[in-house]
Amino acid sequence: MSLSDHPLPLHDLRIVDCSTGLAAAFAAKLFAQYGADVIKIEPPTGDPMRQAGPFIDDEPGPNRSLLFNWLHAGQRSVALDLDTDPGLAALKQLLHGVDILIDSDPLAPTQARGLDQPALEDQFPNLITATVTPFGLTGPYAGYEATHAVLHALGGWVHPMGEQDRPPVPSGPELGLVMTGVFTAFGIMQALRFRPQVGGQAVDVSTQEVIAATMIYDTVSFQYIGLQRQRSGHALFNNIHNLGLHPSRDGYVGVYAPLSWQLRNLFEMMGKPELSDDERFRTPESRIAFADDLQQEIVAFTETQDSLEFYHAAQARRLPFNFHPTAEQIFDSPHLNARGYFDRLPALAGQPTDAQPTDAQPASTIPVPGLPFRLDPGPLPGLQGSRDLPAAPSIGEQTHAALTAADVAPATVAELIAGLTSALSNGAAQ
Amino acid sequence: MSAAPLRVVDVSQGWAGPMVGYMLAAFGAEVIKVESARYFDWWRGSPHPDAAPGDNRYEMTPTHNSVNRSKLAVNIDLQIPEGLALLNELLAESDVFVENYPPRVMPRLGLAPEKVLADHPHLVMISLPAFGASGPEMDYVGFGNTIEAMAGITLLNGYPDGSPIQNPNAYGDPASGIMGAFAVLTALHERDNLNAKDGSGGGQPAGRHIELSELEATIPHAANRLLEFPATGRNPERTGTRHPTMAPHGVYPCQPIDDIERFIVIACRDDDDWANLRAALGDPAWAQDDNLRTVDGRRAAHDAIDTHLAAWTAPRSHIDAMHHLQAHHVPAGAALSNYDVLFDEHLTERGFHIPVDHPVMGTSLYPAPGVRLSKSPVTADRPAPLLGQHTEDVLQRILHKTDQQLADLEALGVTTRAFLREG
Repeated sequence: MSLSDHPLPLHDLRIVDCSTGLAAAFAAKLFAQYGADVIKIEPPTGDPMRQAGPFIDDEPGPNRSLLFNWLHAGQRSVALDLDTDPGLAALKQLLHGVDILIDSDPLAPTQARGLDQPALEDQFPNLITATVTPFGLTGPYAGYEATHAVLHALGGWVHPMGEQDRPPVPSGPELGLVMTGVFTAFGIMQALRFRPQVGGQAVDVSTQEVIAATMIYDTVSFQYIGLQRQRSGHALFNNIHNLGLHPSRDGYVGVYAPLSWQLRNLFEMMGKPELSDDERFRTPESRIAFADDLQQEIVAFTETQDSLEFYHAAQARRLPFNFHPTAEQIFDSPHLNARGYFDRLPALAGQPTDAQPTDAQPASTIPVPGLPFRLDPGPLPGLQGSRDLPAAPSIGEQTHAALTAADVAPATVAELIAGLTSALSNGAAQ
Repeated sequence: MSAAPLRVVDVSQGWAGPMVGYMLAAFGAEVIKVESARYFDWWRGSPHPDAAPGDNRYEMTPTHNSVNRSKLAVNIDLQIPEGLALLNELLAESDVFVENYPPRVMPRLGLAPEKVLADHPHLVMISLPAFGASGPEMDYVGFGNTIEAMAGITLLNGYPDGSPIQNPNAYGDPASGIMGAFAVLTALHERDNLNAKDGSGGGQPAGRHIELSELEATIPHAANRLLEFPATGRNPERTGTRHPTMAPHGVYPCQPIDDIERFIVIACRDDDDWANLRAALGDPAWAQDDNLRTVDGRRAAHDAIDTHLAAWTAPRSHIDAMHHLQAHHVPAGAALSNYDVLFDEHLTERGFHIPVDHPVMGTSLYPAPGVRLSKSPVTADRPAPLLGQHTEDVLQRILHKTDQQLADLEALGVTTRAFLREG
């Protein structure tokens, strides 16, 4: 479905997404955001992510996970049990005319279902398959169990992160998984570029590798200078206290003044321009020798400052300082809202589109992160922000329509739908 | 359509912008990195007062040498009119133009996006300004670490009773860089589709300017926590080593290696994982407590569980403990140091570390791009170019400059190789 009059750049692509999990779902979301037609295949009981919060108004339910709804806005859902022959046959029927199949299963079950790229190649020579797994399809860890924190650990991201006197911490948000989603989308686009020459091919994405490739080339640093990175607390580097995070009156601010002109500007902001002439702070070497003194001076100032005012005052002096906005402050950001960054999801997610708002369920929208990049108007129309998104589908909402359109026999469609209905009522009874 | 390799002109610096070109170069694009001798990529290091022409000190940073692999480096001073003209000659022969300066910089150089697209309507140009090219904070300055913070990520890292903790990788940069690479391929897909329809393969001007605000490309990475606010009206909070839904979930000490601490992550997603963990530990008496059968019970007893798990992990190597727990299907991951990652058996067997011979630094192992294509392997993993290394090659081969023209450009200072110190 196109969201504007001019077709979006990926409008010609058709995707079937059989995956579960944040990483692959984010890849499919990117394609849908830029115009691709995405069919999500779910088990009759629904993608497990539907059961993961945060839930709209804290009410759990298969259509109330805001994470799921954001990731699947505008996609279609077909419910199929791929452990049954009719379910698997229906999926293969759906693959006609499809450009990309996204999956997140390990190799063995995929091969057992005949859904690996070599097995599909005869029937679908131009189909690109992308498999998003924790460790990739091959190698000694290929069957290992994983979570976001486990993968951050094995990608080298946990070891150097944390305070020196406490165990390291994984990142709070599931960053490596979303990063994997973007790498996957990139890999699929590369495969599409090569398709006229080589036909379809398999894209193998390992989250561990994506994380290791994202770790600012620490492995190369080790070979160049022999340093094993360790936890440096909230400072960017050990002992350089004018690079990092300091307490403010109402939170924390980020202070980065490694260059002399930046430090001079900071001292002026602090109302202590004379510190620029202080022997202790005049050269990079002396600043390291007197790092604790410098830290004391800076913190004595930041502690008294309102985070937001500090941020704007520093930026007015071209200092690359930051504050640490809460989620609320991000969604309320005057800058982001002026740019129309946030898209809007219908709050009645999963309801039929002709549902009338009632007193109990007023029609309203929920702001969600919007386009990660924009296309300027120029030779072609632009693609800018602040859009009303279609709702995410309820479980199997388009099963009948999609299978019928794919020429699945009416009797088979009816059988599959009956199976879906009974699985749903069993699920509801539990 | 799209049979010819892409040609990319890359004037960006640091990480996010150069990563766009690197990801394209890794899969066969010809990426021309344009720097001036006065203002070269700051990831090479700051100009040094004692630097001499050909000085090796700008060829030695692991970061620059990693993210500029397989590129060509051309030395052009864009602040000289003849330099700008030369760049435009290159753009006329290219598919993609990458820059990542604050939005005021390119117009000042005569390279405003609308001007570039007017001159080169076939071109896909991408800009990666920190905060975007509109809005009240468009002129604010940022980099990977501050973008990470402004995207709400840093505040959610660390212990609930401690200070926020930065990611160890300037997260806004790679988040923006890989998104930029996807964005470029997306715009090229659209361009080539329109050209194919046109039939001539080059008739319809379908170039694009992509505006990628690093902040806006990074915010979605934290969405699984940030969405708590619009969903519930509450702000998400730091959980330290623990997890909002899994228990136990923690980071536990193991045997140090060469006096450097080592740790292991252990996570139980559900009751099955807990049963497997009990089995892996030999079902000790403390774990048989019925209260621990449910996630709520385990969360209530998390401190005690942590003590027991730490006692089990402490005498073990983080690698051995991981293999033992994984043999029982427990999600466990050794917290690898950069040294450990280099020698990790799984990454090694998959060929993740690629040897590259650099003229100054010798042969080192560099990370693969993180995506594998079964029929289009990464074949061209060449070393990062030395400053200005390919100036002659590119100007002769692509722009057909004569020796006299090259000498004239050198005399004008357009392609100077001397390192000038800026006051």
